[in-house]
Amino acid sequence: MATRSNSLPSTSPASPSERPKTLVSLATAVFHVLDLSPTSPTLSEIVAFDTADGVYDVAWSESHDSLLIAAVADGSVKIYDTALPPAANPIRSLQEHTREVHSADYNPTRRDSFLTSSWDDTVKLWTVDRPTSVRTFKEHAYCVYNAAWNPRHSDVFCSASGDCTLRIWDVREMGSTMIIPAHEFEILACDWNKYDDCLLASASVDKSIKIWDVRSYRVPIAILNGHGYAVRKVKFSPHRRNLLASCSYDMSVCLWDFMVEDSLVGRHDHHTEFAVGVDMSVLVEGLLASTGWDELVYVWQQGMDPRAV
Amino acid sequence: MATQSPPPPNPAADDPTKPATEPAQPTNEAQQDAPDAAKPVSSPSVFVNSEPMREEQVQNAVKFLSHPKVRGSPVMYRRSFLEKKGLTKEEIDEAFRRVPDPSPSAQATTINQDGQVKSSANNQPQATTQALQPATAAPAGVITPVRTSMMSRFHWYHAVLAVGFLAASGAGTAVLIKKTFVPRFKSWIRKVVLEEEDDISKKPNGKPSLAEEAAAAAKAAAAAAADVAKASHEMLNSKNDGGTILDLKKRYFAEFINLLDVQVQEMKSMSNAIRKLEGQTTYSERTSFVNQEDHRVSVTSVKQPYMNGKSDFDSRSVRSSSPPATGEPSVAPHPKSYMEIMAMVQRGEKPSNIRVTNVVF
Repeated sequence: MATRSNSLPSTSPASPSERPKTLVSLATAVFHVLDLSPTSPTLSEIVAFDTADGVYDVAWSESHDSLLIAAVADGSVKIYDTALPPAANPIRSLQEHTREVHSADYNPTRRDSFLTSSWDDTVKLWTVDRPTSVRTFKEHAYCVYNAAWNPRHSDVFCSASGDCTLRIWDVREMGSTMIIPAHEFEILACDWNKYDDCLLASASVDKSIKIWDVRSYRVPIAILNGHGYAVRKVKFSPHRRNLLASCSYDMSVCLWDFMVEDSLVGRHDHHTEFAVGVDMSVLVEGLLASTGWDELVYVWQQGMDPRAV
Repeated sequence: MATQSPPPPNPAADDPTKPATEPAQPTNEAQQDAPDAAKPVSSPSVFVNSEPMREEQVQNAVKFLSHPKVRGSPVMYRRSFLEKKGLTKEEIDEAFRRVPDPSPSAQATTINQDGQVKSSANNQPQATTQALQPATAAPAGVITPVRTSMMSRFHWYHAVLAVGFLAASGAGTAVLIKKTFVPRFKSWIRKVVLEEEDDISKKPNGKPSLAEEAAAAAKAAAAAAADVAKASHEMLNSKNDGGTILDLKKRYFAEFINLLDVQVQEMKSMSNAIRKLEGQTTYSERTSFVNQEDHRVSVTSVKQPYMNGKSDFDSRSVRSSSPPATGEPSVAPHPKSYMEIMAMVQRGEKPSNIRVTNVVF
């Protein structure tokens, strides 16, 4: 099923809270919280927030059901509360990045801190209650497009950057602990495997997705080719160890099983513009959401056609 | 893990050393904490590089860092390059330590001492210039490296700016040339038309209108040629567009070319009709001349260039716009018998011995 949103969307992560909610952030200053209730066949909008500038990423909070972190294009990180009326939002605006904030990720195990990565080459660590960042990680030589917490190790995270390297960091350490020169071109996304804490995936402008094991990081475990253009986002499934979903500027969303020789498991060409956001629901197995610059948000069950109502 | 291929850019020289040490490493890892982890956890972190430093890599890095050109580049870029080549942090730090330039060691210490790795890149250039002064004995030796590094930095930016300027001026002159070509083309046409009009001054109304039509058609074709030049110039500038946009532009271009071909053909027929009014004999000479020009144009310009490169395209458009211009006004008009002219015009005869070959702009 699909709904139309009224501007260019950029990502849609799925909520970890009880009711499956989809959050869509939009490149032009409004982002919507959509609800997927079992009774109605379509997504309905719960609330929409206006921001001063485009929003590149949103993350649900793990500690509070209604809190969201928004990564805004003007360099600020805004915290919203869906339980409060739109007039009271954002409840906090954190302005420290000097360039666009490209991604936000909430720590799933510690539940009190989140990361933001920015085009100013840094990754910042924040906690919800503090007005300033706790740590700044500055080592990348170019824009950091994505930062993701390790689902098992609460202090480890990886960052993907336009300087063509993946870096693995430990919050307790001074700098990065590992540097993986993953691709020859910019790396747009990275994600950890939810079942094996040593596996991570990197998605790059060179149209490939590489799966890495940190224990033997010189050579990738698998290289997934099949997209026609740069791969914008990659997400491992929370329900199956080998499954990952990716979306790309070739307007498709692909599903992969990286342990299989012919890895491409599924492909959906439902978008008519760049597909820029994809996520898999933690609560409902097989539920996928994707969004693209065609202003549409699709939520569907894996195996079905996203366009079917 | 036993068979690990070396990282892509490195030669196979360090291969024999690695597999020998690799299997030993995991067992060592299990017992000891990784050197830079220093965590009070029972199990060591897998998220650190636990390999020993590869001497080959370090030496390659030292050679790289000792190169004078590399010395002039910002430290951030040097580190980034080495990281992309697959060196670990320890190896990079070791290489920096080994390079005789004392400044990298100062930078390394500032990194280690900083509580947060915050704006270390900003600290480094300042530390470089400051550390350079006191660290060396001979001030002359210090000054020249500083100067060369600054000068090479200058060269770098200068080169970038120069390239940008050249590109802009080249594009500008190309546009200017086309703009001057087109008026010249138009004026030639007008001259031809006027001369023809003067020669055939005592004629019926049909003829001047024909000449005017021809002139108008010529002007339209000239305008179309100018548009082609502008469009090809746009294509030149939009080199960085994505693939799909380029395809659309190519298709648009192809259609445009077809329209132009039609116009050119019409214009040619018009001008040939005019020439017929002047003289049958000279007419055949001229048509053969025009034929040769067309043939040359079609031989030299193939449809493929605008697939391969827009620069090819551009040069060909400039080239091909000239032959039609030179073809027509080069021969002087001749007087013709009045009745013959009328007969031909009334018949609406198209010259049979002219073959309009494929003129590709």
